[in-house]
Amino acid sequence: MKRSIFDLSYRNYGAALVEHDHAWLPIARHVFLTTIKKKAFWILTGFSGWFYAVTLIIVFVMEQIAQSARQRGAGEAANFLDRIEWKGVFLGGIGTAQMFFCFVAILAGAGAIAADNRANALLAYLSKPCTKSDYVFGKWLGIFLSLMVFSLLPNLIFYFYGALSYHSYGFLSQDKLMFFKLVLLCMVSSAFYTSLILGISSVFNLGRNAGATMAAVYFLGFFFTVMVQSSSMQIDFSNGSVKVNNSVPIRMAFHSSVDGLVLSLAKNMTGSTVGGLPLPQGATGNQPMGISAAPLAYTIPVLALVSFGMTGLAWKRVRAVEVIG
Amino acid sequence: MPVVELKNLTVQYGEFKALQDFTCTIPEGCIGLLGPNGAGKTTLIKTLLGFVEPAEGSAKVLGIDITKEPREVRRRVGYMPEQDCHIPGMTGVGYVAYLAELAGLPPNQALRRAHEVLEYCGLGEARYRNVETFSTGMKQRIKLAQALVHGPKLLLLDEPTNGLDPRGRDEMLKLIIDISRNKQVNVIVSSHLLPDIEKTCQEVVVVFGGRLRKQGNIAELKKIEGLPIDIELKEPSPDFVSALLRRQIMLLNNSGYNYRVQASGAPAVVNRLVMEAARESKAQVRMMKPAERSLEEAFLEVIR
Repeated sequence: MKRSIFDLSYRNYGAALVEHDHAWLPIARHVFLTTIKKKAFWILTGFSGWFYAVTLIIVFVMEQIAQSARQRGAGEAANFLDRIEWKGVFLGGIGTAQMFFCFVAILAGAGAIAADNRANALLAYLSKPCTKSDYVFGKWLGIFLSLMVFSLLPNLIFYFYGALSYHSYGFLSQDKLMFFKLVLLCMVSSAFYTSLILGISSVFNLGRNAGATMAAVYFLGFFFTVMVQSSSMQIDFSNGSVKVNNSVPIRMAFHSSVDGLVLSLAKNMTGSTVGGLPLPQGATGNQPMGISAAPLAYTIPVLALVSFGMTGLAWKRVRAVEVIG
Repeated sequence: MPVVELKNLTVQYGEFKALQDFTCTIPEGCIGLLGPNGAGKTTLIKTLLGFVEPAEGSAKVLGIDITKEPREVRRRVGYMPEQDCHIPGMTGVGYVAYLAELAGLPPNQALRRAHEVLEYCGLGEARYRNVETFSTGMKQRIKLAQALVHGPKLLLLDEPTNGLDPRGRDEMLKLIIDISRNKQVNVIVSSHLLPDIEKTCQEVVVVFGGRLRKQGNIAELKKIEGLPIDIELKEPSPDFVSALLRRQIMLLNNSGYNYRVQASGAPAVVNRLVMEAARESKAQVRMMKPAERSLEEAFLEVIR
């Protein structure tokens, strides 16, 4: 007799189901674990900390020089260390990580909804006791947590290393709230990038199209701000000095891109305009000049509007049945 | 308790009415939702799952109002969609366990159940393969597995044999029969393939043009008015026909040694008269049974 290929001893599941109203939890966990299992995620996280790595090398070398110089009675290197504005270093770190932020957002979120759209997976999700809101929030949270890991890791490593090694150079005393500001900044920027990529992903059926669109939005905005920055500079050829037009419209235009909005918030929160280490004393050339932050009254509403708007778009686009009115 | 109760249900896509004034009560067991393509079967299933809001009327699944508590409905119902619905990049067991968690199973239970249900559906060997690499038959099975994993009281199967070869189709139908008859799960099978419905279901609901056309037992549906009888003789016999006519039995149809006859009176009496006619004409009766039409004939008559 031909044996049946299926197991007839099987019994239907009779145990109680979890009466939870948070079906978003498995979704978030799945998105997060899928992202952090990718090698590219860790490579990009590592690269995003390049600014801090370079800063640490410079500060380490300067510290070594300062120690040997002190023994000779010369304190130029020690003077350099004393002049470091750590908030500027953090601003530099956050600013240079923005492009990697965009790449990781694409890595984590481009296919989040687009791939499900393509594979009709929404039918599988929504046929379970999982609402549209659970689905969107789960995806959002999964991407957000991935981006939080990405953004917090280099910042916190640098922060704790700095707190232990450079507290004598004002690392902790310059801004006692820097730790909380960093965490808050990482949260806001992660939420912003998450909402953006989720909204874009929901519009497409292919993750790569969503990723390309996100990259286009990021880089077009970036080029626009570069043009704004160039037009804001006034060079006096008679003495070679450069002045920056720091009017409010210029500041708003400069900070209207994806990374610009995050940078504006970072500038407002750190209270710094120029990121990086100070030039050595006596160095020739102009001090780097930055455009001041856009007003918070502009930055926060725009960040909130884009974030809620894109998440709302994702929520609107997600549906199990394509209804043509 | 009826598994589905619909009262004047109307579902609209814009101006188009996909379901109109649909009233029916679907009992427990394995029920076929029969209708040609575009009849409204899938819309009905999606409405039952709460994917589409009814414009008018009400619907209850397992006694729960679909508009008030759609989440509760989906907790008790398993749905196997017509089209593929795999989650990209997942293995078979990962996919089923993930959906089990979404359905409310604790994570460790979800994984255990995923293994069990995949074994049951004949995917034990393939459970660690990426779902995207599955054949059509395997994809159909994994859709059934994900629908079953949380132990639903009602399974909604939308065209479960779509794209399957004869062997795969046969195995899928055997699975459906086993689920409905031996596992105490109510099943609604939506299909336009009449043999599939006939093989798996006891009752059918015929949908056409968004309206309920007929509901009832398949055997009843196939019955022909006047209760004719089909007779098969060993060899053709004109004497048998004459003997029948002498007993007021009408010959409806004759092809070779097959005869379809009809007479007024109780079936037992007619049977006795037929046997008497056979004895008188010395014809050997090989088979005698109440005549019935095929489900296809019955279906065509219903939707005509």
